[in-house]
Amino acid sequence: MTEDVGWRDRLTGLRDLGWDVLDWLSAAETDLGEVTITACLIRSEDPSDFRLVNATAPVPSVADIFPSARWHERETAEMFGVPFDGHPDPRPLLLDGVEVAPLRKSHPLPARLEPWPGEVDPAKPGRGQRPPGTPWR
Amino acid sequence: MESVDLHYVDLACCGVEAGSAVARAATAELAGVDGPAVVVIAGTVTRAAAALVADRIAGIPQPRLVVAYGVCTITGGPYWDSYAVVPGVDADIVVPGCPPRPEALRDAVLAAIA
Amino acid sequence: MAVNPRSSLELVPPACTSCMLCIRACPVWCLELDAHLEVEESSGRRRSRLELDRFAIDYRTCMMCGLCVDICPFDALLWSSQAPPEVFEYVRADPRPE
Repeated sequence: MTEDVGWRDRLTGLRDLGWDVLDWLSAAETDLGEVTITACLIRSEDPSDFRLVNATAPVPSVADIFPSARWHERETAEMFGVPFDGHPDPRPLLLDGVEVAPLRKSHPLPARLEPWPGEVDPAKPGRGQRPPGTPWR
Repeated sequence: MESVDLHYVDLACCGVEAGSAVARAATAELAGVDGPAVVVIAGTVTRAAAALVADRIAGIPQPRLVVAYGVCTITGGPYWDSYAVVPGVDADIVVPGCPPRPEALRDAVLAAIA
Repeated sequence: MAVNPRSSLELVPPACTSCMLCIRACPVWCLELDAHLEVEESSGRRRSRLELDRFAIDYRTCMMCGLCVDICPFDALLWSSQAPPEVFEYVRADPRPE
């Protein structure tokens, strides 16, 4: 995957036009398994005026341009397992020692060890179901 | 006359219900009742807060009774399968509900002390 | 003191068809159900139906959301004002015909 080198240019350009505060930066996983990074910039003069910028992960860190990105990038990195190249403090923010990024679709939701009581239908034994939230891929 | 020492760890929504129960019980139902210290854990215990809750409990000297108020503190409640939640704390008394009524806390503590 | 009309759940065993809808609706996996298939012949036709053997509710994790009461198509689960035990278990009284 190639890093989106235009990411920093796009955000810097918007900052120069007046959107000088990074409200939040987060990510989402698409059906194809790609992670899309989204940044929301707002104007300090009119905070309700916002712009969203999207890019495919991985993107370089913008923590030097927008100080508020420091924590947002740390959280996004640990929740989605994407690096932010050049981040000054790439420690985990909320989780410690979680192996799989929890917000990826490959991370299963049910965590119990015993089987789901709804797994087997007594009328049709052998035709098992899986609990809701189990990744189907 | 001694009275039961009520401690209260407020973590989430159950903290609101337990707060009203603890405030009432300390002044009304448990005033003048002899018994061990009671620490009520109310609200979802996240992994980040787990050490703080454990320290708070350990800081209360024995004899003490730990009350798990609300299903989040018993089995993790509706968030039992979350990566960020501890699925329940070790407790001597269990008050199930989401949230339990404040009266349920009074009944459980009185039954345990009796 | 006012009684809480939704303190626990009440099972009506004759109404339960073991369809498992409540088990799958429960968000905290606190319901358990065991059933077996009964096959009977009546007027030359073989009919089969499910017999409920065991139904259990773990009240330590039940959050009283009522999704099971809501989804049961046969009203076999109802709200009750009785205080709940830690674990409720119904086991079918008649022994299975071997």
